[in-house]
Amino acid sequence: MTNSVQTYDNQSEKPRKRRRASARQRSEWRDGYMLVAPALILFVLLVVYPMFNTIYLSFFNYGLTDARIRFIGANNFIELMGDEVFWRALRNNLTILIVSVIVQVGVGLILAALIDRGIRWGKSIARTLNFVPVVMSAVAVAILWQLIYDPTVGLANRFVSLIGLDPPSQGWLGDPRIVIYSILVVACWQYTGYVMIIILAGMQSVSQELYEAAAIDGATEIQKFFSITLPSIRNVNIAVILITMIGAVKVFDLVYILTRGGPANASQVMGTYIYYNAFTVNRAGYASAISVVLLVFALILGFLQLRLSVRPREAA
Amino acid sequence: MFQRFVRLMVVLAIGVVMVACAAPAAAPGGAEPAGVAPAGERQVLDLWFNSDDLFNQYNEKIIAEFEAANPDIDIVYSPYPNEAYKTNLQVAIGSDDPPDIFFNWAGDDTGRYVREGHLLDLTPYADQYAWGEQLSPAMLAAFSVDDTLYGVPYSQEAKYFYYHTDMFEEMGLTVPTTFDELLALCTTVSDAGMPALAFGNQERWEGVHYMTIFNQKMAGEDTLAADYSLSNDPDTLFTDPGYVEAFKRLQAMQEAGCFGDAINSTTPDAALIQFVNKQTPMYYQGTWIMGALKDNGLEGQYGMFRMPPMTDAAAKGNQNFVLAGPVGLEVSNKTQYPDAAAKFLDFYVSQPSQQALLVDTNRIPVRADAVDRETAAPGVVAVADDLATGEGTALWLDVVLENSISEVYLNAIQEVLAGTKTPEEAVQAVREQALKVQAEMAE
Repeated sequence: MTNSVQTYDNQSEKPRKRRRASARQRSEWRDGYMLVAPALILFVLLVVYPMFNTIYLSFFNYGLTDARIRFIGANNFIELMGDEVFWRALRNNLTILIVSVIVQVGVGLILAALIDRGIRWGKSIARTLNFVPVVMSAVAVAILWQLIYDPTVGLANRFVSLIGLDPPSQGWLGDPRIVIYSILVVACWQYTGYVMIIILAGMQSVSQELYEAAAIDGATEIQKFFSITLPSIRNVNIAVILITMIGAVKVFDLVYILTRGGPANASQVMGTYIYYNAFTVNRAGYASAISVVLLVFALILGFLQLRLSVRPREAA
Repeated sequence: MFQRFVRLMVVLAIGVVMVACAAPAAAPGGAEPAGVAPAGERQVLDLWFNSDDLFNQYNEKIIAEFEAANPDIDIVYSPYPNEAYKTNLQVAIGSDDPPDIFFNWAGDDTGRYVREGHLLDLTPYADQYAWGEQLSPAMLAAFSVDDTLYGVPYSQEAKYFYYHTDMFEEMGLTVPTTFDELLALCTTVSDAGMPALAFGNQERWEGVHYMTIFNQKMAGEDTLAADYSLSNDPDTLFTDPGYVEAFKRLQAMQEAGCFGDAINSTTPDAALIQFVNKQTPMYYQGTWIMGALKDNGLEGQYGMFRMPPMTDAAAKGNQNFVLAGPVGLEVSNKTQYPDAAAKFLDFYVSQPSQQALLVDTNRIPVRADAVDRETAAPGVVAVADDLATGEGTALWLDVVLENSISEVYLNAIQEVLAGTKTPEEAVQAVREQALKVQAEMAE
């Protein structure tokens, strides 16, 4: 509080201060720039340069092992428009995005509410059990689920048989019609706990006084949830929805290990399709073009995140 | 004082980053003539292999023997599992630091690296070490492009039906002599409550092996030679009805109960386990599994037979072809030590190494003098004899075709097996990709 008043006072004497501090300020700026320079250089080398280079290379036809590089203008992008697998990959990303937001955020919210105010005992155990899949690496999770989905010895087939249904004849990961949903089950299993923990942290920061006041007014737990909890954690919910959406756009590891994008490209997502083009069929230029589309897609989501997260603060 | 210290640290940090990001220093030994290492210098060669555990043991033994005989040469051995190998090699080959020596298949897998200029011309070393007099000329030819040798074959791999002799006896089955008999056998086994064949097509290459031999039998070897090399006329490229018929043979096997459920989500490893555990009486697989069968105590308890001939009028190919192909070692033209690399290749295909290959791994050697009929496993002797009776070789489809066409084929096979594409649609997809690549190559 004292600091803010002091700052205000300093600002009221701007002309004199500015003149007197300019030499020192310039020195501070220089030091500041020098201090951030290593991070800035790394950022430019590892993020900015590859990004612009990818955009540049998307106008060429070349392969990783092929030294011949030919400028082909926008042909890669024109080809993309007619590429059935690209659209399937994009559709799969959107499917993952929509289902992940509904299931992960929906279930995460319910679990967080139950742990926060719904159950009295075993909160720590419930929180830990839900969070365990999050700390496992995606590779370990994918291999574990490969075993669960195994058509001969997998638990998934046994479970389905136990409840009187027929397991899919082509296997959970072998049927082009269901494979993306089989992968989604794994993604939701792994990341719902993560979403739950973030929402739970938000819920636990809501003032108890509000709940006590609502209780005096005779509000039920459900009413408290919809009238106090949800509005109070609005920004947290927006953040987890956007984190989940960005995760869905970037998804690669689970799909790559579980199916490599197969069978017959049925579970291809943008990330695996970029990898497939660059490293399997040696079409790095085309892979760059898909990366540019993915970048635009991610930028739109990033812009959305900025807009949604900034507005409430301005209103406040 | 503090500011000076901070500035110094920042300058140092920037310096470190810039040095770390700078290009590597020039290669040592620049003054030396190519291929000759300065006296006393240790020559380190990276060797990459597509290999399993059993084969790793063999390779490590051979490498140890070579290093003992050549103390100035170190071999750094890096084995990779089959599925990751092609991708890893492709990335490494395109880099500034590729492996010096690496495993590769013949066909376009070698051809594309020759076109792109990554391989060392081994012809002078073939003369120096007299490989032409020791190794099979046909297999050396498979690693040659325009009479220039780019790889040294070390083994011939071939595809056979393996069957448990005791299960055949119990079920009253006999080895089929025609494709129709094979279908009937599948139905008999399927009716008994189990799939006739283990089949793991998750990685897609098991399916392409069926299609390789079906294409040869149905479309004929002349058509394949013209289409696979993309030298056929664009109007007729991949239009032979034999390609659709080939897919229909695969469907016929599926309908006859040859395969179980979920083949597109079963890995080759899982399929091998099914066969080893006698959950199926047969497995159509390459000779590379004979080592695993030996490890699982099945030596002498299985029989083998080739894909039987098609007897219908639609079959235009020679019905006495074998599905096979050599595998070999190639050398990067960026290697600092080509002489040392060639020396290792010669050691790798020498008579003692090839004999050990047969005894230790049950692989088929490329030297006739390495097959000792007294000590070799009966299966290996049977394969060696059978390969000699074949009138030609159908080389693996995914190896002989240009990479992107092969990818379309691999996916189309999965889709036909899943019932999401008809044979006609599958062949059309292959033709479209082939036309595209042909046009690109003509530019």
